[in-house]
Amino acid sequence: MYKVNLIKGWKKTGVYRSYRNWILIALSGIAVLLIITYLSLFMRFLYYQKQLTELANRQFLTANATGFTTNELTKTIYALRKLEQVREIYNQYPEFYLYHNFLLKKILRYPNITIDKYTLNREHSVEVAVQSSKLSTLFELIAVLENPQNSKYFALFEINTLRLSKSKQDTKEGYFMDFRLQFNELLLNEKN
Amino acid sequence: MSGKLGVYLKEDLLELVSVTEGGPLRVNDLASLELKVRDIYGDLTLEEEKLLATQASVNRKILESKKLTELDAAVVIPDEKCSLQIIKLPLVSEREILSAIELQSEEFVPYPIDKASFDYQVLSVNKETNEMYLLLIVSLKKVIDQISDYVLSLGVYPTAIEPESTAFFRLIFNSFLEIKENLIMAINIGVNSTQVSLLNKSQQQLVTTNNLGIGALFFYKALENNLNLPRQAAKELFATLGHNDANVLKIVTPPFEEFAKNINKILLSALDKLGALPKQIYLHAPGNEATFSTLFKGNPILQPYQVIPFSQIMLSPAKVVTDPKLLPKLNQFLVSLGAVV
Repeated sequence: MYKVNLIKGWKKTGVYRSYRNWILIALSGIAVLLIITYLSLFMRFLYYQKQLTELANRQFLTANATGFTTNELTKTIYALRKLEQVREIYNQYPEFYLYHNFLLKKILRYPNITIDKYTLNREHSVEVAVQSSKLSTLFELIAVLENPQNSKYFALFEINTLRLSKSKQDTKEGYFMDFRLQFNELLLNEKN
Repeated sequence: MSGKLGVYLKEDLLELVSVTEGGPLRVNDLASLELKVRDIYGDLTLEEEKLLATQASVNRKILESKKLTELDAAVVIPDEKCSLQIIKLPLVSEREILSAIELQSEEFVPYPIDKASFDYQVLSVNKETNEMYLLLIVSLKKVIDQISDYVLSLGVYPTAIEPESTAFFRLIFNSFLEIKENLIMAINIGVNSTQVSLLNKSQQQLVTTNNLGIGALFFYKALENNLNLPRQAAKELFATLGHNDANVLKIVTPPFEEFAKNINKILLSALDKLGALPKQIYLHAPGNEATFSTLFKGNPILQPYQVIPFSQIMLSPAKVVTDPKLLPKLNQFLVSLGAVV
């Protein structure tokens, strides 16, 4: 009723609306494209980061662990990591580095020994768990540690376990030993 | 349910009503925005055009912040920017009406037909006399294009443009306004002219509509000349004219008597045609309703009629619902509301 319209059939509104819709579609498309590009770049960045880490590790190993077998490499990486931790602690407690460098060098002499556990505390008490395929190697290690030349640096040295161990993954037999020792201050005094 | 905007584009101001259709009309928001030009319909200088464009982008941002863009807008322009007339045509089919109007355009359309934008509403058909009466609304295409482009620049889509009077007719005939009288007169006083329409509410019929070449400017000029005032001061003085300003009333009374005589002529012709006179006159005069009410009441010819400003009529609560906070302001946005009913 009394509805008059002076722009009846006017096309401009429709044209504007369709332009507007196309612009919205185009903008949404661009936004989706940008999001996909960003995500792919981010994933590429993560992939390169991973590769870079691997490369850095490989370079590190090449520089520090040439000539080791896979088993030795595992052992070396574990020991080096521990040494790294020790070095950090050394910044605050310099004797740590001295003590543990001393002990790890004794253990790492034997290529077929794998260190399963190595914990240390502020009282210079160390708990070590090692494995070897040969029982004789473990005995050799005990002999080295009990040698008066070395044992004089320990306030305590006790073997908790020495047993035959069988890996769950394979049928290989090995020998497991865990021991605890505590350093006295002799090594530090000698060094000073 | 869909959102829609009712836009009333005055010379220097934009009034918007945001509504949701479906059931009673729900008014969601009201806004009044400045255009920063004296008259958007006038000849704008280059500087004014720049100012209008700058302000349009400001207004667009305001509308965006209110989430009122991207909506369909029904636009109302002042009556004086159109020509409203009831015309008589020989009885033709709906399809042939346009051709008939174009054929007789020189008689009805005040400009060349190719420069005009027009629409019509069939009022009555008399098969006995083979005649039909139409309400013909004509405006300059240039003005309509300018307004549509401006509304588009606000980020809303103009879907309809019409004059103030037809918006009022719908408000009255669709019972949005609580008017009990059957025969009423609606007077819309613009700046340069006045549209006077006689409505029969029960028959939902526009009886007559006439344009008087007297608008508010006629009274501003009287004040300017007599009191040596600039236009703006005269405008403000007229808008705030009260019963106590006897000296000023003396100045505006003679031009109003002239105005009243013209209204009276229309009333008398209505008496001839219908055998009855309206008891109530509903008045729309943006900014000047209080002053004109005073003048109507003080005029011996128009005194017998009850003069009611449109802004004082109650809106039917069954037809329009809104937030209680917006309700007191809603009557000031009647024209914008009329665009969407």
